[in-house]
Parts: sequence; structure tokens; C-alpha cells
Amino acid sequence: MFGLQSGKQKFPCFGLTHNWVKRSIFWELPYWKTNLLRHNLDVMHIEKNMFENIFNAVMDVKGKTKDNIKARLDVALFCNRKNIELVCDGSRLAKPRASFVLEKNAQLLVYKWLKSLRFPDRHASNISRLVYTEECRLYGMKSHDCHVFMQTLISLAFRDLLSKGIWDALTEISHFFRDICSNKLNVDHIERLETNIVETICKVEMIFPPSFFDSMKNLPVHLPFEVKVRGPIQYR
Amino acid sequence: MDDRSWMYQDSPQKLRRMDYCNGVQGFINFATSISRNFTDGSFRCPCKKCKNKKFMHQDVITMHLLTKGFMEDYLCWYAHGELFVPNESMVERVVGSTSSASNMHEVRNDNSNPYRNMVMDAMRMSEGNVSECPIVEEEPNANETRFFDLLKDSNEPLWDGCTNHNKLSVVAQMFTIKSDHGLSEAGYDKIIKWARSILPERNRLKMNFYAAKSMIKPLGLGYQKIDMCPNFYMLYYLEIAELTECMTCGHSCYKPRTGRGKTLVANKKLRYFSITPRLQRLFISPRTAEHMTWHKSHHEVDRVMVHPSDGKAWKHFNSVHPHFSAESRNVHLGLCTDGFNPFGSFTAPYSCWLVILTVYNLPPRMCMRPEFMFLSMVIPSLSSPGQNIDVCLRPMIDELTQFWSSRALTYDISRKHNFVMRAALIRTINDFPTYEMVSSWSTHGKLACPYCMENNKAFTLINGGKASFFYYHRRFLPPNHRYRKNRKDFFVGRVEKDVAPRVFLVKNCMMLCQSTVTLCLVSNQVSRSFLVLV
Repeated sequence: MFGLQSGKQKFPCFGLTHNWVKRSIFWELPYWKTNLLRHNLDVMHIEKNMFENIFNAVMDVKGKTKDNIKARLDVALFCNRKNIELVCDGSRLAKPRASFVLEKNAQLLVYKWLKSLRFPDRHASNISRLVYTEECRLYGMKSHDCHVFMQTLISLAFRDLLSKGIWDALTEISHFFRDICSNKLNVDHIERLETNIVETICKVEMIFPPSFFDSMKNLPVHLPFEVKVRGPIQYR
Repeated sequence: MDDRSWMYQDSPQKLRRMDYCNGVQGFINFATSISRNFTDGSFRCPCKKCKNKKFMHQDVITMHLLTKGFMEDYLCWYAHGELFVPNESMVERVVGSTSSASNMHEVRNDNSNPYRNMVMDAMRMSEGNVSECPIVEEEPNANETRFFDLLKDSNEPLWDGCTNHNKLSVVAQMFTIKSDHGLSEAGYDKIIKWARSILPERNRLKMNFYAAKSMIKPLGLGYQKIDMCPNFYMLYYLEIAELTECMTCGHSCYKPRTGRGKTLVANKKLRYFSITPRLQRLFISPRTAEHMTWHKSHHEVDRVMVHPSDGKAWKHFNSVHPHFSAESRNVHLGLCTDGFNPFGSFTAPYSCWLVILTVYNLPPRMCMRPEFMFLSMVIPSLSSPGQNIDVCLRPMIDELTQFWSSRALTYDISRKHNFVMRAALIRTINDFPTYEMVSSWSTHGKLACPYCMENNKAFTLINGGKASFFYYHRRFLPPNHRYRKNRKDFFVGRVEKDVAPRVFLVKNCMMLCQSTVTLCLVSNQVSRSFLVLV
């Protein structure tokens, strides 16, 4: 089956009761229906996405952060978080600094620390090369840099700069990815991860605004199950 | 072999005895007498530390041997031109070690013409089993002649009287240099022209790149070029290969002719690298053949996973298809696909799509090496093929279906006999946007999660305009968790009473498949293209 002819046509009830767009050609393989789990997620991609969104939100990177004006407007509608709602200041609207965003001084501290970082050979690329302290930006992070940052640096970078609850949640995510990426996995341990990650994501839900949670943020919940069925994720 | 007991006899004070010094001198003389040993004026150092891995000048080697002594078990100087005659203790050691095949291979290379071996390997034979291999007899004639031509080339010296280079070795080495340093075709031709002026008259060096390439071509496995509609609506493939216009969009297959050129040039070409000969080659090389059964033979620890074969899905697949799992050499494949811009991300928009097949039979240390991931398709395009990637996958699916039912006769060098190989695609691995193209479950909108599917509670943000999975994860918590009753920190005023959605596994997939078929047939146009191409 070769999909719909133009992007505008959709199957009936698309987006309401189902999200099918075509009949995949793989169903033509005679044994395909006996495969327990047919499509696997790319963990590296999820990790990169997760890292970028967390880092941009915490460092308040202009244009990249998910914590923008519209997000704050949604916070007023869906959440009970008076301290991060927009404040009417005379004729202007002010966006108060959220608890998960670092102050400017703290941001500079993080960038300076990143600038001075040295890694063991072949552990990661030279991340200090990607740091632009004056602009307060990281440019040209590759997936593997994000992977290293997510697993080892994120808890170090924000330690004592963020409040305890927020730092805990971020560190738990970092540890989740570190555990699930190991090349030797114990089934009991994965089951433990499966229950823990839900609680961790719930903690993150209590911190970040609703717009932070796009479809990628939901996927870590399903990763331990996928690992249980399909084996370690270094083979992806 | 003369007496070599001097090599491993030390005096108590670590002082070298006279016969040791004489022996080292004898070794150096022996090694320098054989010209084949030399690479850039140096040869392999057999000292305890270098272990024949490093190339040194002879003075340095003498120094090393006098201070450090010989490496273990080097009574036969096989890396310095002696014929390998293993004594009993060495045989045991070689058999016991895991890399016995590679050892044997190196030895064979050292003692004979490596380029001859290259040709032999490529043509499904190695010198030992020419008579035993019945595949050879069945091969078509054209193949045979090309093979013998190559074999002749590997024995023919570059010019009469040349000892260390033959016709094939020069081309092979030049190709290595070309690919290592990104030499252009014109650069290659110029170097060859210059080299030919240095070499004696009547040398047999190939004139230019084109001639060299056509000479070496039979060694490769080749690929198929298939014309494709530039909008990804159809392949000009099998019975509809003769068409000149796309059946769906009416776009011409060929570029408009310019100038006086008579050849028609296709708008877009798919390159398809057949997987069968590549898998067969894994069984021909002694380095890989024995590892192809690792997934079954490895020691499995209960509840510990180190390989996909320890997972539930692999075991389930094997139990459903006992005839497939009975032969441990049958191949489990994984497929992954993604697009990239070969011209850098900041230049013109371009998205070249690759489809790569991975062999999961191999042990963890080999499984993810680039040499065991087979590029099976290159789809050139300005933009992503989107849902129509299925059109491009058609040749591969056809081959895999055939591979499952009719099988392929393969020669296994580790057991020295033929067997019928089968292969199964067990999973695909994609990033999230590609997931939609391959699995056909759209990863956009509120039903984006392919695990929760329609049991989804995402909502659209009023100001942000995007689907949000906020307050989504509480239903995965255990029933009495304190977060479930929290009305304050999550979605304001809501408690969570739902349970986690069921994940669709094997029971439901038939139903899902059926439902999608009916869905697909609802649209007339889709069924038209379906009838045309299936």
C-alpha cells in the first residue's frame, strides 16, 4: 500500500479514534504479525530531545525555551501556580522568573564551568568548544554530546543552583537514562525503573509548564517495557 | 628448523648469554634476507612488548630483543617469512583461543599471495575447499571467466622481472590510497600517468581509473539501479519497468533531453543493494562464519539481558516458528532508516535517505560494528519521501519475503558444507518522526504515542496550540499513589482514576492489521495504486 495520494486526504476518524495513515508495507512479510514488538524507538533521539528541552528551559535560552509567554498563559488556565503566571504591571505584562529558571549570574557560572571542562580521551567531543559564554548559548551539540551531558553532567551542572526538589527530579531523569543505556540489564532492575520513571515524570510535571510536555516527553515511560521485550538498547 | 632453545633461556642475573646474542644476530640476518618482510625499510618486531604488531628498523629490533627478549611462543618465525609448522603445544593454544580463525587467516596471508586470497574469498572459495564446494560447479560461465581473469591478474607481475608487485595488488593499493585521502578521479589518472613514465617499458599497470575500476568490479557484490518517480509514487520495477510515465502523477521518468545526447537520463534513481549475497559472504569468511550462531550458543544468565536474543520478543518469535529457530544459522535482521544531508546542514536543502540492515546473530562486540551493518538502499531526494517510503522499500520487502519462503543455498566455511539459509526481519528502529513513515501510526497530534494509541488523554493547549501530554502520566502510577489525589500541583482540580492503557501485543496485532486494511480500502485512490503495484 502506498499511502494517501496527497497529504490532505485522511482516513475517516483520523486523529479521533485512530492515527493510522496507511497500511505499512511490512505487513506483507508473512511472519510480521508474529513479531511481538515490531517498531522500536530510538533512545538516543529521545534523550537528545529531553536534554535540549530541559537545558533550554533551565538556562532560559531565548527563542528555544518552552517556557514562553504562551506557556505562561496556559499555566493560568490549567494549573494552580500563581507564582509563575504573568503579572499585570500597569500597562505592561511582566513574566516573573520561574523557580526552575536560573538567574543570570548562575547561568554564567554554568557556562564558565562548561568552558573549562576536559574529558578523558574518546569519552565525548570537546564540549568547551561549543560554549559561547558571551551569548549564553551552546552551538552545534551533536546527539552524542547531548547523551554525555544528559547522563553525567546535568546533575553536576545544576547542583546547588536549583532548589532541591527540582534538582532531584532532573537527576532522577539523568539516572534513568544512565541505567537504561547500560549494556547489561537485570530484569528486576528494569521493572524497578518502570515504576520509578512514572513518578519522576510526575515530579517533572509539577515543575515545568504544560507546554513542556510534547509527545517526546511521554516516551520514557514506555522505554523500560520496550527494553524488557526487545533487549538492551545499545543494539539500536 | 634449527635448534632454537636459546630464545627462551635466561641466565639468573638477567644477563644475556653469548649464544642468545648470536641467535638474535642470526634472526636479524634471516629476517633481512627476505624482502617480503619489509614495509618502508622496517619489519615486524617480535619482542615481548611489540609482539609483531609494530614495524621497526632492524637496529631498534636488535636493541629490543637484547633488552626485552622474544615474545612468547615464537619458536617458528611465521611473521618473518618462515612456513608455519605448529608444534603440539601451539596447536592447543590456537584451538583454545577464541580468535582461532583469525589467527589461521593471518598465517595463510603471510605465507602466500594475499591478493590471490582476496580473489578466492570473493569467489566463494578458499584454496582448501575448491573441490568440496558444489556451488562452484553451478555458477554461470561468465562469472567463471571473470574469476579466472582476476586470478591470472593476481599472479601476473607488474613488469617482467618484478617480484613484489602484481597487476592486481597495485590497483588494490592505489584504490586504498584513493579512498583514504579522497583523491579525485583526475588526480588518480595523473598519478598513474606519471607512475607509468617511471616504470619500465611494457609494464602492465592499468591506464586509468576507468580501466582499473572495471578490472576490480567482479570482486564487489554490486547493486541495482531502479528508476523512480520523482514524487515517490512508483518504481519502474519488474513488469512495469518499461513505462516512461508515472501511473499516478503522470510525471515523466526521464529528464528532458538537452543537446544532442541520445541517452535518456532518469529523474531519480534508487540504488538497491541486495542483502542475500552479503549475508552469504558472512558465512564464507572464516572470521565471521563461526560467530553467526552466537545468539544460540552463548551462555544465558537467568533474568539478565546482554543481547536482543535474551529478550521476550526474540524467544516468542522462535517459539512461533520452530522450523526457523531449529537452524541457528538463520539470520535475524533489524532495519533502520533515516535521512541526512550529504552536503552539510546549512547548504541547499537535500535529504538523502538510507536504509540499513543489521545482523543480530553476531556477538555484542561485533553486532554494532559498521562492517556488519549492511547499507541496503540509498534514496536520493530533495525532501523526505514521507509516507511513500513504502514505494522505495518494495524491492527489499520482495527479497525478504522470498528469503523467508524459498531460502538461499549458502556455503558455510566453519562447518564446510552447504545449507539453506533463511532470514527474518525482526524489528525496525527509527527516531520519532520516521516512526510514522515506517509503522504507519502518525506521531503527530493528540494520539501521537504509539504505545497508548487511542487510549490517550492528551489535550490541545489553548494558547500554545499544540498537543500537550501534561497530567498524562499519573495513570501509570499504582492505584493508591498520593499523586493521584493531588488536585493542586497537576491539572487544577482533577484527580486521576484511570488505569494505564493496555499495550497492544501479539494478540491484537492481527485485528489491528485487519482494521487498517479495511481503512485503506475506504479510499478509492489508494486501492487503485494498491492494485497497480502489488
